[in-house]
Amino acid sequence: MPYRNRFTFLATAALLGAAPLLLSGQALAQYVPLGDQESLSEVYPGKAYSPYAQRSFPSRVFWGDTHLHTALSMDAGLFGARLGLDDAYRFARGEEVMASSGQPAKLGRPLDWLVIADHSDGMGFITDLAAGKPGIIAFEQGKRWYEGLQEGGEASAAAALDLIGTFAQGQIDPHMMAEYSPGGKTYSSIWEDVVAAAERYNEPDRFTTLIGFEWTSLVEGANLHRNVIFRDGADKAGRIVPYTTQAPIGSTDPLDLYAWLENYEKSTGGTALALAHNGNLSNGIMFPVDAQYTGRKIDSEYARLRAKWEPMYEITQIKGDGEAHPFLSPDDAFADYETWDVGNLDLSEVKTEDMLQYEYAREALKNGLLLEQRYGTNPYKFGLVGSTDSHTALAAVEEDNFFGKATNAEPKPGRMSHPFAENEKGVFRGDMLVSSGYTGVWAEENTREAIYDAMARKEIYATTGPRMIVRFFGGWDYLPDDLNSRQPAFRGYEKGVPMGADLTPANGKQAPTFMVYALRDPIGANLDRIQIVKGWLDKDGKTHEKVYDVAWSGERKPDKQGRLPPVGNTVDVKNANWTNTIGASELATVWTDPAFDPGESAFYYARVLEIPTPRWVVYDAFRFGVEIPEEAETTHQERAYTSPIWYTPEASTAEVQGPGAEG
Amino acid sequence: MAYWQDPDFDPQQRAFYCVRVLEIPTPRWTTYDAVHFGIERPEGVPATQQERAYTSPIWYTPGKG
Repeated sequence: MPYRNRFTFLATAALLGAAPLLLSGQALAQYVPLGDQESLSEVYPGKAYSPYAQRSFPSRVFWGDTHLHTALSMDAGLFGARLGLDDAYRFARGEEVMASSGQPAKLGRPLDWLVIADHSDGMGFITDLAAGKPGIIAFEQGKRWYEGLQEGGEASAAAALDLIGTFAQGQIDPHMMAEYSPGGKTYSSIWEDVVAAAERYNEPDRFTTLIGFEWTSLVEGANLHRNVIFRDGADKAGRIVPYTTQAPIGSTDPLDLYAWLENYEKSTGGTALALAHNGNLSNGIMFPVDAQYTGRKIDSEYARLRAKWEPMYEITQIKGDGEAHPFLSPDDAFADYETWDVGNLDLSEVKTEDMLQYEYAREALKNGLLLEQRYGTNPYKFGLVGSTDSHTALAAVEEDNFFGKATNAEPKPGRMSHPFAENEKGVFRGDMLVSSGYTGVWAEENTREAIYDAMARKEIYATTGPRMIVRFFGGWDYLPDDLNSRQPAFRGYEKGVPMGADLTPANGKQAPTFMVYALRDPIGANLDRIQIVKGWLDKDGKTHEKVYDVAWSGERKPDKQGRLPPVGNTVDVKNANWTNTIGASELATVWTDPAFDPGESAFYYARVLEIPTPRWVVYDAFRFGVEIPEEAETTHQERAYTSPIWYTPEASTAEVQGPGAEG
Repeated sequence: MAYWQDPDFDPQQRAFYCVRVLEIPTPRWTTYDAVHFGIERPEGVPATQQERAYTSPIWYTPGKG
């Protein structure tokens, strides 16, 4: 083999030359190989015939949930969840389990990966309480609640409600809870179980588990929750216990969580990230622009730390869709999707319109551009994930297979009429629960490292449940012909960057081009349209947004105002079905921003809409023979949200630290 | 998606049924070769084809229900 011969020759020459080179203090790297152009050209044969060989870009989507609770979570257990870690993993990987409500459950299709993220505060307490562990029933409260739960029925519900109230008022006996808080031996042992279960179910190339927990910061009922996800296994994540929110050990301030993450990485050599969820229930404090809820001014430090530790945001889940709000996006006909805007998480405070701008993902992406200009870092430069936040240990958000928010909302005739929360301030109706969502991860393989790394680089997208395939690339030179290969990824990576990345510098080019491709869920609904959502910051420091329809099914023509007519609706509510006789099985286009200004920072993400399909309440009504409440939505257009691609003017960071920066 | 009932069914006759699913026309491999290597397709070799699936049959045997 000429190749082998040449290699051996070069290697020998290098070895022979090593001594004098070292003596003269020069590195081997500076050795100049012998050879001529002709002989070397045989070593590099050029592009392979197989389009799939010699490529290193992510070519598969792996589906999962970044946010699932089991019976170890206090609230999950209180609402009747009995399924634990093993059940959660087994269900997610496609096995049939018996739900806590006593009915068999199975996913239509297995997931590829799962993050179990139980609440860190009091993790495992409720399971031990239900089991009557001596360390708990030794206390008056513990004994009382245990006996109530044992009695069942109304006494059991009363005990649960008493526990919830006592916990919310901070009246739980601290001595009893000490064992279920960092520092307690029991708490360490519960975390050991969590880590061990993740290790047990992690099977590279078949099913990935990522170790995680939820840091459940609740500020006077306003949701600041974050999930923490580890890249690591037991050797590192097993050396700590989760961070909590209860003082004096824990804190509700995200800055303290960042410090904890910093310390985790420093002390273990590990790697972790955090992601927030349900800004819609934060009553204006999830994405601050001027000051945190603590009163601390937003500054370059806050921006830098939030950007560093929170590369993702959970944009859609059972407690509402958080992409956009119709008040903030009046020109977006699809902004009012599964909107939860009555109040904060526990309905202790009513929502007001001025809060919305600090709650929704699109607005945060816009304000991120503004904060980047002020402080040099965009704190809200996140990729997008969809998750269940289910409290049943069942990541079940297929519309026809929805197992609810918690065990008391698992399938049964009355569940859509039973409020999720209700008081004199308002109500989150039971029918409003959203059967959403999942996350698609673009990765080369289904391993913990590959999935985590895709999350860290934001090559991920959220869906409200369906598994459509979505590619989204940004660059300066895409042409319609680039889609002709029917392999958008080849040209996509060659000429630009994927979702979650930064556009390369303009280098004098007129406007960025985007290649977007969507294939419907193979067993799901056809696609209505692909939209590109652009947000930007103008020269006066004002943010803007515009939604472009870029690809759609059929022969529809936009009207004079540029509005594309609706795709239609084939949903048969009575019989709980629909037909794929409208819409398209795939949509693709290359789109050029028609209003690009190279001096303005911007972001772009794709939103892919399905044709209308039945909401879960329609399946419930059909199977249980119950009436759908009049106020309930029956059909909806499920969707995918890609992570954005950002554009930053080259000179913009130079202006940052100027005196104009305000607090 | 379709629903079909055999219009000529005779309960006394043995029969089998299989499904053939046709794709729209796509390039044949020889077309990819020609493009990749920059060569001519031999005359008589079709440029396109309709790829397909053949399901295993379902059989009917009289008297077996």
